Amino acid sequence: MTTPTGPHPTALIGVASGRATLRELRRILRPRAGLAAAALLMMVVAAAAGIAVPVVIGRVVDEVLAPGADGGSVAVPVVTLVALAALAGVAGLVAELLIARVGEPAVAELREDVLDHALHLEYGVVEDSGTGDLLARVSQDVRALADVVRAVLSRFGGAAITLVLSLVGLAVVDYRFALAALLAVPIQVWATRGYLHLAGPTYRSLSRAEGAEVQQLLESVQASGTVRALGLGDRHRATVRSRALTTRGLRLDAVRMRTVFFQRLNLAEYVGTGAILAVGGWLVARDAVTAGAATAAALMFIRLFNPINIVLALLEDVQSAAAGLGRLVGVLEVPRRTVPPGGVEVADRSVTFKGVGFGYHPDHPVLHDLSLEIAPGERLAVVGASGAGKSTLGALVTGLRLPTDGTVWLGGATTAELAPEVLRHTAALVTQDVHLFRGSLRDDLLLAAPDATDAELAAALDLVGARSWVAALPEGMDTPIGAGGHPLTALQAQEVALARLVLADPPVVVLDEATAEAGSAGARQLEEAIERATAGRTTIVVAHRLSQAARCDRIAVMEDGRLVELGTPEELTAAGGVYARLWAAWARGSAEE
Amino acid sequence: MSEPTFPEARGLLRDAVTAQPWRVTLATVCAIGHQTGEALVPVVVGLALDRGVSARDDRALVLWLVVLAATFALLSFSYLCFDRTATRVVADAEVTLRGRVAAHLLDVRGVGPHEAGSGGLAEVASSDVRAVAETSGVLQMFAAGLAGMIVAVVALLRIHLVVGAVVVVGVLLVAALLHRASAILERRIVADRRAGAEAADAASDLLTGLRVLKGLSAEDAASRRFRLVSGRALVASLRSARANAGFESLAALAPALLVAATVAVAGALALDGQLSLGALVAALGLAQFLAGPLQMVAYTFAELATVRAAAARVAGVLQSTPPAYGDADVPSDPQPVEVDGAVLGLAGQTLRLRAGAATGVVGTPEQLERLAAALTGEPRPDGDLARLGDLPLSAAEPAALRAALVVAPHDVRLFTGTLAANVDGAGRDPELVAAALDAAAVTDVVGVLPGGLDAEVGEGGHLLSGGQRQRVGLARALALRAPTLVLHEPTSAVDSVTEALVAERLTGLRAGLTTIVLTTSPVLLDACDEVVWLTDGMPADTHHALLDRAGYATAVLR
Repeated sequence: MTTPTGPHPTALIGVASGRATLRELRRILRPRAGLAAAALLMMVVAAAAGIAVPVVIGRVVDEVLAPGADGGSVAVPVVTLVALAALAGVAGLVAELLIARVGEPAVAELREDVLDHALHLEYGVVEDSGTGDLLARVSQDVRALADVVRAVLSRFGGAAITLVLSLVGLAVVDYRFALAALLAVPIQVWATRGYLHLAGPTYRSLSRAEGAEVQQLLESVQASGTVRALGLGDRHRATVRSRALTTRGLRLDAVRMRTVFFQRLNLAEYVGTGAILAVGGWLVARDAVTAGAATAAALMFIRLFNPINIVLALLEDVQSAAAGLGRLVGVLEVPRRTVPPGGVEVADRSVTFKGVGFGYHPDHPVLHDLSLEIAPGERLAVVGASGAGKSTLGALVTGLRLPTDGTVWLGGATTAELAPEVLRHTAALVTQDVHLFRGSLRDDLLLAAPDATDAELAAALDLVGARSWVAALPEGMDTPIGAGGHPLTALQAQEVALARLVLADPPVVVLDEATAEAGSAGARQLEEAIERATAGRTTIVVAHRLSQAARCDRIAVMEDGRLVELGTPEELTAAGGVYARLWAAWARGSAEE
Repeated sequence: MSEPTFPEARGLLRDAVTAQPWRVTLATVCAIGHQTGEALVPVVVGLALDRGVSARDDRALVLWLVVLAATFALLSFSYLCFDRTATRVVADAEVTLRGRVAAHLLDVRGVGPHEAGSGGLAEVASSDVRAVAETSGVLQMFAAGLAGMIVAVVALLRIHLVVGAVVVVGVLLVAALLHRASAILERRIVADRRAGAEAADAASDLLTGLRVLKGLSAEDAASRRFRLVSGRALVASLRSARANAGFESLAALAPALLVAATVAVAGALALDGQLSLGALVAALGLAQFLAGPLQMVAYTFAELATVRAAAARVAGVLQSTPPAYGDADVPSDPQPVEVDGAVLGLAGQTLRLRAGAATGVVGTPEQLERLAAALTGEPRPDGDLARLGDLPLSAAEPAALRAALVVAPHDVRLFTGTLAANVDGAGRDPELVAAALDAAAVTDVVGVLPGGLDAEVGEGGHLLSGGQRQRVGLARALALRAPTLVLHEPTSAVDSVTEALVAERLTGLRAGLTTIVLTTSPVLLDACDEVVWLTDGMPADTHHALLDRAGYATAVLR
């Protein structure tokens, strides 16, 4: 994290090493170390109380076989058993509570840190590795981790401790019982290794296949209109069937491995039980132990069947949660952009490109030697075919990307030396991604200006022409929008995006095809809203429609990453170049021009 | 509860069991064998301790160890047979039923009225179908649980009537207690899971909108908001963890007390000489075992209710009748298209679109939308108002109609998969596909995407931009090479440079076929052979000539 990020943010999001993951785990757990130790102690107490039960029963057996002087009574053993039950219950309760107190806040803290870090990752890193991967980490991995902490940790830990303590307990009865029990271990190791090795990947493929199957069904059904209109029904039905057959095949693979695993575990159970009974017979015959002790040992081992199954069955959950943790810590390991200290400030609203080149891959340049000066308050339209480098230009102005060659100046400072906080207040980018955030319309707008008053929010909505439809919403600004909320039209969503821009109030704005999704009906309305929202700001419009470009102060025409024409609409029309030809095609539709 | 009844629901459940009678029988027998074996383990261990270990009889010990091996072999192989057979039964039933439901949902005629929304339909097709397929598993569980209970209870009563009665009553009490406790816990867990899901949803929502947040530098505000949601989820998790801890300790305490009670009764009887050592051990083991099959039987009833409800939903979908279509043959060569002006708010006039030509149609967004809907030929009250040649669309056989007349929806829906798979949706010849890609200017997209044509487009095509999605959708429609193709604002999200390119290539590719372009884009209209303006009189002429008419220029100026 010491070197400033170079022009090529090649740092993709990786997976943390085991050591780094442990370090992060220690960091999160350190403040809760006392509670964690107490939880461990309570788990040991609960397990020990459980293991003592067969020993007490063994005493009863000895009493039955060789009645003592008082003729024998079960009163003492029964009272002991009740006490042990109570002790195990209470210790287990406390242990569970403590585990929750340690684990749940740790998970919450981790997910908050990871999301915070993910939000602050460099634009380039996120673009290059895709949001899909990041999304999977922050939702699925976090959820899997939380599930493990919630449901698995105490059972797994309790069972593991019981296993270890039972071995100790067997050894206390007679060390030869412990040796007999250990005969089962190689079989269990063999069973588990084979299972995890083969079944792990199979179960992962299975859950992927099931996910893909549901996903495909959902898509086909939701787009059944498209499927019918284009006659894709047979193709989609065939896909449903082939996905269903894939899932079926994987499920049968999985059951084959699972049943083999269980069969080997059964073998281990038999070998352990049989060995303990055999050793018991041998020891009792030699009066080395009583029949009660042999009974205690046998019962102790039988009581282990469940914990062993729990440990082995949950081993995979624990393993995959650990892998998920590695992926989460991997997010935390991606360095954030650092700027040289010094606190450079922005002087005005001008934007200057000097000899700027940029490429997402070193051998695949997208922009070449671009020089351009945009005066404070000027409106510049950028026109060109897709892939001409228009959007890249926008990302460079707002500092979301840094140039590979040359320099981009924003208000007299280079985008590389501006701190994120300063960039934040200087340049904003509105793209055609009209994502509406979950929650109310007010919450959505407040993301852009957290301290804005209701009056300010209303004024912003007013300015972009959204007043009437917002007033008509069932709960006004408190109406939930976004996924699962009140549906908005593409035009309304674009207006929300513009209102956010007004609230963020940046001196420099880049609009990247911000009207593309509104459809032809709303385009004109939206263009007017854009003009109001960007009044007084230095505005770069990556223009989608020529009518929009024609209303700007100057137009830059781009082709294959180069600036080929630059001038006022009148100049370019007169020049007879690329723009003039496009305009001629367009103007045939507007006789007034 | 007024669950709708569908006669077919029972049939679905019956099919899930009786379609594979031998496998279902085998799985049931094996499940019973497994539970019997499990019940016998403590009995045999008790006998080995009693007759072998305690009696110091080596031969008896060896004998009982052999019996124990046989018991383990029984339970182990039974389980293997049960799990494999039952899984196969369920998996096959699922494939069959899912195919049936998918065929119904994707029927060329549409689904017809039903109770579930489109999200609900997918739910029915995935999880409800799975639940119905598992019917046989539920029955096996019931049979196995019952068998386990019978073996255990008979063994207990044979050991000693009083001990047996105490254990059976005790197990029932413990089960009832835990059942009550878990019902209360269930509500807590559901609430907690919702809070946890809310945190995960909030996180993915914020990341999905990451570009928006980055563009406005709203990362800090978003992070603060997430901490609030996460904090709420934490409070809910802790509350549920407390409830869960209470339940878990109860679940440990109750059986432990049952063991103490069993020892009290059986131990006293043993001290009295009325009970052998083996019987004591067996009684303790059976007391522990009995909870398992009891739970299985109880679980069956809850599961059966779920399965029935799922079957009712699946039957509801399968029984919905698609709208009625005609069965007239549809000519496969390009035909003229006629639409009654009543559809377009121009009653008394007729929209005539020439065969084998590219015709632009200019109108208000509402007119264009109604026209596109009428041309799909989906049954509607005014279904006779559109004709392909002489044939009213409502009389046409639906599959043939779809092949002859394609209305590409304006709202482009792409599917998870590669770019190539999306364009080549119906498996056309590669040259057609290449030509369509070129005409829709998708080749430029292909050049930019890593992997080109093999690039994944993501769920619903979300990895592409709106303009890219629209062009891929256009290429997909063009690749069908339908005799008559209707395009509805096909370039509304495409930049002007690319739009000019598409306009130029589109008409060339469709030469000789009927192409109807519903649009207000001057660039596209200029490329059409003829343009019809949906206004009084429905003037038809070239785009250029129409520009002289008053009002036309305003209608096409965007």
